[in-house]
Amino acid sequence: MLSKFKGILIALSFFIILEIIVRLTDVYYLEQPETFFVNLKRAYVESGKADADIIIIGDSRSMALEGYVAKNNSEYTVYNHSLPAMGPKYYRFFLDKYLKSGNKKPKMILFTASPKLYATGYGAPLYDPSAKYVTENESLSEYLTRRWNEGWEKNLFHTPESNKIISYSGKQDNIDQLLWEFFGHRYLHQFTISELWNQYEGVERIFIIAKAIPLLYESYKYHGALRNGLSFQNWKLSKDYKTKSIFCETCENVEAGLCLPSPSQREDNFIIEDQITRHLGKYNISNRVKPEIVLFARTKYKEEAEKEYHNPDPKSWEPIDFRVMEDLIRYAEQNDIKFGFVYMPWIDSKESAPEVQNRIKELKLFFLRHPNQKMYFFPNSGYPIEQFVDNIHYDCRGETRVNDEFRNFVLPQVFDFLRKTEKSN
Amino acid sequence: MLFNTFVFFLFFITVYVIFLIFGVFAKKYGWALRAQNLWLLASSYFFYGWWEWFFLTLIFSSTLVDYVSAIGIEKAQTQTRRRLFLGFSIFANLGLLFTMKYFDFFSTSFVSAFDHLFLFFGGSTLQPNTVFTIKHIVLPVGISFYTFQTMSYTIDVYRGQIKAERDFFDFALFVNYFPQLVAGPIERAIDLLPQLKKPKFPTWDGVQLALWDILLGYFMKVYVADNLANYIDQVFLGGKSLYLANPALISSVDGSQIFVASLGLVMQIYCDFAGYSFIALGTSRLLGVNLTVNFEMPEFSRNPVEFWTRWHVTLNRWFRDYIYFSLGGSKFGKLKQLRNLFIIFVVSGFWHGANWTFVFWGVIQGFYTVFYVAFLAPSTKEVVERPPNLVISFFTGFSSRLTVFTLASLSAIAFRSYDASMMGLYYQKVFSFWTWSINPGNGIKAALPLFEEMFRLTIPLLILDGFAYFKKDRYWFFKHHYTIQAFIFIFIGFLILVKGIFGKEVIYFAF
Repeated sequence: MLSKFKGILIALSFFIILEIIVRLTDVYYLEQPETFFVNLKRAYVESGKADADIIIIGDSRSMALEGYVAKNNSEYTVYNHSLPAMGPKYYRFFLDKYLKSGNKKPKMILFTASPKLYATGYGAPLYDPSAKYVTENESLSEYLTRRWNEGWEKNLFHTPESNKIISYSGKQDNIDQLLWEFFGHRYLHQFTISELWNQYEGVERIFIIAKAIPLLYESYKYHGALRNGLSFQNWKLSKDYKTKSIFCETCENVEAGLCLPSPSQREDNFIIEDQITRHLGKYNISNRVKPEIVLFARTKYKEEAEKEYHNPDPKSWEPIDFRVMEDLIRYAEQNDIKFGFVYMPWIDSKESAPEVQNRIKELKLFFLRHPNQKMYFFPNSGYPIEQFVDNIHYDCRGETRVNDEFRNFVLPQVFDFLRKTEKSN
Repeated sequence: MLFNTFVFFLFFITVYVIFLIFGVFAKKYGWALRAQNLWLLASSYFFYGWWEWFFLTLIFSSTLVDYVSAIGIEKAQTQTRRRLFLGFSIFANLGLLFTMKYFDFFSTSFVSAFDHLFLFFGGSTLQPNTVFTIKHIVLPVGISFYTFQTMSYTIDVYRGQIKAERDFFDFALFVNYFPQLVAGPIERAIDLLPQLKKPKFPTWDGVQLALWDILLGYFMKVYVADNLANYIDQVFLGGKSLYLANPALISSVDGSQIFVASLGLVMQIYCDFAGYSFIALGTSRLLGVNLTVNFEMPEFSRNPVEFWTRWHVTLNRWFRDYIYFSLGGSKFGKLKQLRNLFIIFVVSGFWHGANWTFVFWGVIQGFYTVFYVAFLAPSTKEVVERPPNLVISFFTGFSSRLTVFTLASLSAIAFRSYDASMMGLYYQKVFSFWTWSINPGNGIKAALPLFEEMFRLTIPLLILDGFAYFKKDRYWFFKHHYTIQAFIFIFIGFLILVKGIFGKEVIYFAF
């Protein structure tokens, strides 16, 4: 019998050896930058060595904020833990992991996310392509009852559905499915199975655990790195990569197109790591984009902004739901951590829209109801469109401005607040 | 439940463990065999109900109708009564299929034809509030497969080829057997039922072949087909709703891009469906049940007839056994044979979907086959054993294979088009002068890079299939040194691991 399976057993051994190699090496340095960011952050947080007094959590835009090293006793160290597009559920889970991994408990959290991540609730729950839609934290019995009733209600006919199809690059997809594909790997790479188990309930828990189990085989988890590893090009790492990294921190060099991602995935990730380490978590992802694409995109968005119509009718506005922030505040309070919200500047023409102004008004009311938590504004919440590469992210000059103002205007207020609360304690 | 999801893996492991426990006792004890079959039946219902439990009512009705009809046929004293039972079965099955699959199509076509006629005579078109038709009927997964399978059983009983099955649960298992339930192979009762009625336990030989079938199936589905889809969707768009929302998108596509994409499209459809069929084959082998091989390296076919004996074998066997032979086959002269051939291709087109594009695809395939049989196929008298001239045989073999593949690709344009106007436009573009732009401004890769990318994806499979085709053995490497076996398993497994796309639906689920 064994002779029949000799070839198959050798093949199996190959995949076992591959798994051992993957587990013993930091193979994620060969991953695409998005996956690399998440893994770099995970490794940093799991190391338990983080010791910042203030941590920033936000999204791809707020990744452009630089941390801060305290210069004297009246200041505090700041580290930016923002990651691109993790979705609203991520923040509380991340904080939990941060605290449980043995890192120094921060004195304060600065929440710097975009409105979609703090003002529209948790959004749609995770989408399960094979078990139809699940509602948030729905128990198994509730789920089965709902499916049973749905079967009777729609029987042989299609259920009228809201148009959830979106198209991009000639493809089309269900937006829920796309969101899962977009966010899925980030959750699955950032958190262990036991962490995921604790984060979800009911059918969502079954769904996410089923998704997480295949990733226990790390050769599959890092299959992108294995694929990139097949090309010698991706292994190259020049000795002066740190010089390149520093060279790419001036706007002149970025705008001249001299700072495009390295053709070697490994070198690209080392440069990213170097910048993140030196700037305490900062990395402005738009500095990777080709200048001609930036120019094209900016022209397009400028044209769109000129034509943009701000709907004054409140009925057409997206409903405001601060649940994410509410939960974060509660979590911070439970752990005796101060909470601050930083309102990040956006394109001025969009910022002036009645819907946005109304949201700011609601935000202020929200913080009136939470007097122990603080809200911080920049000197000006609207930046000219020329300081953005698209309708979200700052360009190099926008990044410089936002950091100058953050350092000189926002942080002093934050430090002041912390000092006062510490004294009062 | 899709084979290419982790949920199926969990499902199968659970089913398999209990199946094997019953299997250990099934040879000695009747109750264990009974339990094994009931367990498989319950699992199959769960597998099917995973999509939408309500559709279990349809498959259950179909099972009941054919169970009763077959017994009715066997017990009937007169030919009229036998025919009545057969008619009841065919009417019920085709009625179900017609309602679920074709009703929307026929009602829309009827209203459209009515409007055209009235407009011609100076009348006005029907308004939505003046006409009532049932719309938005869901097409249950696998309905075309299981209705054909159950119908074949009743017809075989009527023809006296098999005895009617008295055990309802065994018969229900034949209809619902989960490895082949939703995408075939369409099995005949004479092949499948006796295997299901016996105690089932895998053999070591079976396990060895099953592991390869499953690996090959996943390779074809998640590596070749689903990666090819990324390129083909650029030219044919990702879905009908995208096309309907932006019909202008297709106007900028060049003929060269359509032609090249159609070459990849044949491989995509082949790998998508054959991959799924091989997973079904392997899964079933693990259960100790052999299914029919549905695809036999069709891309190496030298003529249309060979192509159709290698592509979706079980469906074509169904059409041959139940339509072509019923129409007389080749018994009544060449002309009637050609007519019969043409009819089954049109019916096959219609089986694939309720759309004129599928019917047109069937017509094209019918034309290829009829033309070949009428003018090019050597008659049996002409086939004379001659020493082969290797050079000539290489060139004729190569050119005929290339021609058949290209013809299949051209017909695939109709297969993939969302409606008749898209199909018309794409054929017009393919048969007009091509722009051949190196930098097409339509966001789609130029024809040559598109071809390169798709060729790179398919070349490992072409090599594997090439060996299997010329050696006439899909499992040829098991007869070679174990290092060769290991190399193939590692190579294919590694490609699936690093570049497989999991969770995508199967194209044939729509049929």
